[in-house]
Amino acid sequence: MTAIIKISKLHKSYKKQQVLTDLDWTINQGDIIGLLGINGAGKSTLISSILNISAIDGGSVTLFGESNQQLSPEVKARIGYVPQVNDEIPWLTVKELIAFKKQFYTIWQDEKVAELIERWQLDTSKKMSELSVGQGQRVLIILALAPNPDLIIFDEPAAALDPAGRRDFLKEIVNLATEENKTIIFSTHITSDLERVANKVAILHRGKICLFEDLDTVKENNPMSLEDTFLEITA
Amino acid sequence: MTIVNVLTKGWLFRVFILLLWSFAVGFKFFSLENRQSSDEASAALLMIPCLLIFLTVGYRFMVLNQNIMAFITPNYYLKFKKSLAVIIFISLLPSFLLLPDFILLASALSWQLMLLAFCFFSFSRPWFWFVFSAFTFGSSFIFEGVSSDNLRFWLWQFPGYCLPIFVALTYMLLINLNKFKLSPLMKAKMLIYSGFTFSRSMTAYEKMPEESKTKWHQWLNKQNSNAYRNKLASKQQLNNRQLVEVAYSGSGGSGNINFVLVSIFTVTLCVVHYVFKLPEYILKPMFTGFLMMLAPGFVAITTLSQYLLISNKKEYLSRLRLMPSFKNDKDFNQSFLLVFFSKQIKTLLFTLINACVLINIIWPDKNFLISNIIILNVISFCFFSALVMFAWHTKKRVKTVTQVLMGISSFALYISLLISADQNYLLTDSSIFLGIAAGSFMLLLLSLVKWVYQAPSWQKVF
Repeated sequence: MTAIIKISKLHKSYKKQQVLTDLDWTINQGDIIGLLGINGAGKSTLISSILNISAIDGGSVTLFGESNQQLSPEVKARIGYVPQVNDEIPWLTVKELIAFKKQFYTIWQDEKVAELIERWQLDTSKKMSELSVGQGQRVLIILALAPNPDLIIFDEPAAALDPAGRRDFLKEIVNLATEENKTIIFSTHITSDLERVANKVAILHRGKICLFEDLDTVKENNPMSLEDTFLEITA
Repeated sequence: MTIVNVLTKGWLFRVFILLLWSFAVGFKFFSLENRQSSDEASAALLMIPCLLIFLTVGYRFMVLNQNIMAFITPNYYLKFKKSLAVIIFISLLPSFLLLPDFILLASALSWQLMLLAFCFFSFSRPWFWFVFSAFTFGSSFIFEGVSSDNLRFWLWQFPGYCLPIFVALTYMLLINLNKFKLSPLMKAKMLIYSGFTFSRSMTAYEKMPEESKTKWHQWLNKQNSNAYRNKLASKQQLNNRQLVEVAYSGSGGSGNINFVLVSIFTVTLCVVHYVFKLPEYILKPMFTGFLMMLAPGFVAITTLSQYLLISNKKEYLSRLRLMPSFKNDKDFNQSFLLVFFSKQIKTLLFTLINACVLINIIWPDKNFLISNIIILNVISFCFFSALVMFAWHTKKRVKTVTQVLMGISSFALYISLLISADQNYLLTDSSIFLGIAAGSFMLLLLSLVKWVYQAPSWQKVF
């Protein structure tokens, strides 16, 4: 198994509050990981630390064998990310934003973009600031998938989507994982979503990954539902 | 869609810049004055489009620079820096083409790069405004001893010798631009100022966790919202007006603390004048105009902040109007208007009192300013209130238009104050101003009539 992400002794705190403590975690190619954690557990912090969006206080993170502090453009092109908050350029239309993003990548799947736009009925002439939260989230998902990345990280992607959009999005993840052998991490609160697509589950609690196992193993070892297991661990 | 296109998006903006450049070219070639003066005037004129470019690009630059995706987009900062270098070069290009004298050219370039640094620091570093304000006031002292002969040297020669410093500074800023990270608060502000996501960014600002705001903002928030919190927490049942008033709580709320702060400013200025005697230059028309602008400016800013607050409380207001204490939409609107206008009138009276006190103490010989301030404040009150009422009433998205209109009107008011202060001119003698005042009043009446006869539907207004 090739390690895509390797985290060792990761430390991160906000002012006096320790969010991530001595966190060790290795993610292999083809893993579809559902990252669970209570509100404020540090899921978004962990993701932004992995991607070097927020500076870490200690430890190291490597992505595709490179330190996240100095990622080469080639490695960056292999990463897709959907942030929790849409802060994309508000004065651009969806069409302009897609054209803007395209210039940074050597691989860009125009057909895929067109297909998702049509399937999700997005009005590309609308400005980003005019989109609803759910529509904005869909645009971010399209932008993340367009360069055909090997690693895709979703930070609570389904939270703003309607039921139909969520189902469609989860279907897309399953397709990516089964047909293209992508590595996917998605943080969520919704355990039913996780059970539908993930092959591994990770629970972040008190600054550490306190459970990281195959979903099937978790189900076999625990007679309770995944939700109950999560509640028991985080209680 | 290149980064240059993204940063300079907007045909109106581009056409306006081209017009300003053409104006500078025209001035150089068709001016009847001597060659040196026309070159200097062209150099001065070229600063205006430069400032406009740097201001517009500056806001957008900050949004792009802070974009989360920037960290994982391949070659983002490399392309970003190159694009900024292209924009800077294009902004400076007309100076290269129009100014033949090397020293003058170097000075013009220095001034333009100074503007660039000014925009950059004012957007990225809030403390810069304190330094800039201190420098502005201090420069009056510095230039007091400069004669008109020396002025040419200080304006159009000396900066030329400093060009290498400004080039080095610009280069340093460019190569380090990815290190200039804004706090979440500044980022939200940047989005508000850029006017692109008015409501959303304001909401984001309102919903931002308290701990991520500065101590000053936390304190200000607490002061502004305390009265409303106390009202909600009290056992006494709130009446309709008080229920509407709760919508005015928030970061930009016109809480009593704002009035206290302005009063402290007025008292401090009066005390400083009594004790130290304000220097002569502060009594000059520019400063008189500037200080006097604070009065209608305060009315305008308070109206704008009320407008933003209410525009972001649509859910609350929509739910509120369904409560049984409101008989119907008309009843709700009546309470809403009562709250809005009571706040507006309070602001108007407060600013007038402050302005009268200031004028009587600092400019006792310029009592005519009092009537000017009154008329401008009334215009400000009527016009801005009407504008906000129309904006709330319409179902279209007019927030940016409203903001722009408010900005232009404030600028026009400032110019009128400047002219009146300079020429000791009584605005009540001007039929144009009386006409504008009457027009603003009519506009306000019209907006009120619109509200009374056609109540806005709160679910659809925004």
